[in-house]
Amino acid sequence: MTEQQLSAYRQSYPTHAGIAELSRGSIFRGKNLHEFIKNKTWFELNLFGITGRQFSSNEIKVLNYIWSSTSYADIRIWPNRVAAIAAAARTTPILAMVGGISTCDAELFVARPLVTCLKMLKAIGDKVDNGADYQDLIDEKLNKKQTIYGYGRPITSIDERVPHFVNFLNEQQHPVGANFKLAFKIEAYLKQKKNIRMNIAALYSAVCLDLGFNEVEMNLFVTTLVYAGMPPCYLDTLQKPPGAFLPTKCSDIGYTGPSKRAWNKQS
Amino acid sequence: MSNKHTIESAIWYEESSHNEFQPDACFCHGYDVANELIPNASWFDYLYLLISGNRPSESQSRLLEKLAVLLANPGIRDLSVQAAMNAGVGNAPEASVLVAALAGGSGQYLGAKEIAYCMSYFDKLELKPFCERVENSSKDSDIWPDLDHLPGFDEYSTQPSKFVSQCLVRLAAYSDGSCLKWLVQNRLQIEQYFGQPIALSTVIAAVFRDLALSGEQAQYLFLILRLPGAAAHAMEQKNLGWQKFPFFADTVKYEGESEPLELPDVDALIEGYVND
Repeated sequence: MTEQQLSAYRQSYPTHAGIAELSRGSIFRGKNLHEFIKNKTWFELNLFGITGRQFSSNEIKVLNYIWSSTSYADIRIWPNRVAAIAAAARTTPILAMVGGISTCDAELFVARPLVTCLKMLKAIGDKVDNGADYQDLIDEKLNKKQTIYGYGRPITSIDERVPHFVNFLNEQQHPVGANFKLAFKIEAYLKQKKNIRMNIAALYSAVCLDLGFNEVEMNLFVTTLVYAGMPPCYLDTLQKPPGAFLPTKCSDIGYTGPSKRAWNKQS
Repeated sequence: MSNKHTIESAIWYEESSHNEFQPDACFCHGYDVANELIPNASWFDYLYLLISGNRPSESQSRLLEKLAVLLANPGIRDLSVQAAMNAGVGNAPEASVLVAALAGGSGQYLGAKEIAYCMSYFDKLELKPFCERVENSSKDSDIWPDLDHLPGFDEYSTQPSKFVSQCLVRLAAYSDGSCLKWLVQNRLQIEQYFGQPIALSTVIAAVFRDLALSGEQAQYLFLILRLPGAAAHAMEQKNLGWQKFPFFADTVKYEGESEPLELPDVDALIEGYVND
């Protein structure tokens, strides 16, 4: 890029997102927004915004299930806890929600497990299509001590969302896609080899991959994956006295640092 | 004694006598906050201690202070300040303004993530390994967008920046470390090799390396130390008002097919309701 090219963007900035024509209406990815939403839910509009595609009613039900099934209104869960702490601090609802959502870029939950798992399944699926054996590919990862994203539950611990979601998919007669099958083949292999099961990241990623999501679309879709659990946590905490959210005593600090010392001027 | 509420920390400790939720004394890394740190420590001594866990030398503290002067206001064209002004002009709460600034200043282009990438360039202070690191150093690819530029280099210029050069030389004068001094000596060759001038990010990365900080520690400091400018410009634009702030009405143009827009005649639609 050159200074001249940058100047061209300053002069005229093209967009394919949409445009608000104030006093007339608004274009949303080419659609007349106020007509388009007459038969669309916010959820469908959001998916159209992310992918540019319109999904069938069955697919929308499946995606809505993914989007909603981690909405646990439990104040102990990290994003919810941020929202609740913000309520204990008596800040605004939006700041509380933004604080909670921002934690979803975490390595432990939401964005990173889901995006990396989608990427991993796609890479394995592509290699299998070109003649590779998925078991060899998993062995290769295990030998290199690489993380197998989406698989990390001990055999005794079932991710409750997996059977619920599979049951729902069967009820909906949702077509079984190649990545769905691959995800469960990998689980079977890992159960036998390492005694570990899939967690929901593998299943969400496989189904979204089968529905044509790429990494960025997946990341945008899951931005609000746990959002619905947060408002109840905010409201619940707002009804308690200020600062009374799971209060920490001075003696709750398990101090392991240096002993008391003076701040002497350094020589 | 540990209990189910215990939060372990090697940083913070509190003592209380009459009320378990009201400390008599607070200690950070063993220093009494009220009686040792307030009277004796400078802000930059304390900042370095908090982020690194170590007390800085006088020279490190001074270099950090000088870096903080450079970072305090990234300037009105900076992406984090632009984001802050957008929040400020609508009179959003102060915290919302800073959240907007953090988002705009967090990325791989001129943001905190770029600083961390650039810090790895200085692993070996020789021209060839430095250039190889620029070209090949590993980048995060999970939640971060694909990299589409050379981190630490000015994407839109072929000429060196006088401001970047001046900042580099000034900051190097305060450093006991080797990265800034090496960069002063090798900047021209690096720029010739890539055909692009270095950006301020590379200079800032060299400062953080000379301060013996990790990429993680550097990103936190970078994000924190740039907030004053975001706040100042957000307040200024709020006070000037949204009507004076650019909306780019004629600059942004929709491209591609679009459905026609028709506005219903609201007066006709409500006629029966207002004339009864």
